[in-house]
Amino acid sequence: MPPQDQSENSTRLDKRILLVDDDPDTLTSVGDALRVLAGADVVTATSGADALIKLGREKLEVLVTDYRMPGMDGIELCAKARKMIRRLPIVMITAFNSDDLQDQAARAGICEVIPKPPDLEDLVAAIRDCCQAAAAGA
Amino acid sequence: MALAAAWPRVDVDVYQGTLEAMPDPAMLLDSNGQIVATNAVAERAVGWPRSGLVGQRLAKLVPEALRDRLPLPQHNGDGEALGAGLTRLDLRIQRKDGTEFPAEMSLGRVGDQRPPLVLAVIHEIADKAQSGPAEVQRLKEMAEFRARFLNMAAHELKTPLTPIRMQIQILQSYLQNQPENVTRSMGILKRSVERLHTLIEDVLDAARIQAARLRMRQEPVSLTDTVREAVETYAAVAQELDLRLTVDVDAEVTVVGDRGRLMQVLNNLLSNAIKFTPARGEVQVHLRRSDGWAVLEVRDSGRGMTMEQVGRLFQPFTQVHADLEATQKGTGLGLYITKGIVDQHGGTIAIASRGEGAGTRVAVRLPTTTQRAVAPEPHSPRRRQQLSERLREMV
Repeated sequence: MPPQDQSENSTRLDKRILLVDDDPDTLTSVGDALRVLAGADVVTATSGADALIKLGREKLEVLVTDYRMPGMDGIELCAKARKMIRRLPIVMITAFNSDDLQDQAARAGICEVIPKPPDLEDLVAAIRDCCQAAAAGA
Repeated sequence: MALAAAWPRVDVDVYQGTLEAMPDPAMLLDSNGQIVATNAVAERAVGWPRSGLVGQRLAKLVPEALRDRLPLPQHNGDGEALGAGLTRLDLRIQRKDGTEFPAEMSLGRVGDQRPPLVLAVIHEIADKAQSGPAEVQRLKEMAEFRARFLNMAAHELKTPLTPIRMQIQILQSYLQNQPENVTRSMGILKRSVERLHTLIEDVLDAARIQAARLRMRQEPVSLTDTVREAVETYAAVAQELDLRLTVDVDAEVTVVGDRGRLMQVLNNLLSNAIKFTPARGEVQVHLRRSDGWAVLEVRDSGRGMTMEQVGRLFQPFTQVHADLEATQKGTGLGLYITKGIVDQHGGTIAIASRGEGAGTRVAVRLPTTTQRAVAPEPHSPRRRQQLSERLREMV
């Protein structure tokens, strides 16, 4: 694949993102990709509890979380996060992309579910759509 | 055999020994779908004596609701389907007492008589419900184990793919304008991880089908739009390979099912047709509405298959053309998954080829609905471009 295929303009994200995943390599890699390739400001958390603490302390604009994590899963995290920040845009990444989970996610106010492994452009587009939807609803 | 004698010029007796030697119920049909000979296994399987079968139409053995699945001349006026090659379809067989069993039927021409004689072989698919309680318990435990294993596998296999994929994209951005060998290595890494991803998805789908855990949405889907969109996705690739890709669809053919999965069926059939058709060949896609059924046909002028190859098509991990280059090879699961999806939609799939070099014809039949389809979410132009790139790498 020739390098000019990297369409930088379409992947620009000017947001402060909270990224949550219990797998350290995934957390670092998705975080780096969002920083390096999308220019986003990324704060990482390794668990739901860690995420909620950071959400309370820092000014964060978007939540991007894994679904299956020990302790608190992505759905539970998102329900709690929504109580703290009502219109927080949330994207969930998961290896279990079932209708059932999609329904649960929709009920919990998650605006997009992205299958694992995510494609960076899909992820960026989902984050952007969620932010726009949240802004329109505000 | 008194009735068989009513069809002169067709000497069926020479086939009687072959019929009796077959372990499965088998019948010899004339070009009207009328039974002219059968074997003892068939008598036992369907509960009809030979005299109740010979002279009757094959349709007698198929429940009324499924009769139009038979690709016989009197049903679709198309002798070609039966005149050559081999067709496989799955349906249910009705016994004399009215009970039914699920079966796979193979139809193929024998000899060179005109009008042609067709051999129909019925292969009974084991019915789990007839097992004893201990067996049922064992099957239940096995199903639970499979479900747990699937969940685990889905998660564990996909987890390391995320960092690999992301790091490749990051590295690629660091490595712009590097020497050719670096670019080439990155290209191979990227292609390989995408192949691994496809493989994992295919193996998981196949396992879900085996465990009867392939979940489908149940909503009205416009097959017309889905077919058009799939063909559009492949148009650029077909053009690059110098193939004529044509589409001819009836308006507003709607089925109830899962749009994403139906798209997977179309992708599979189209990519196969394109992959196995040499330059200057042709791939035709037809979609018709016919008596409550949507009939989708993908025909190509490609390399076709021998009867033996057609017979193996739906077995998992089967690749009938072993001479493909390594990068072109699939998982051998495509048609197994396709059949699983079609089955789950209450449909059938039949594949026929007139032999090597003579092209292939795939017919998928799905029950239609009068409900209105929900507006589809078409692929974004970017997504379509991605798909198109992936296809280019594949074929």
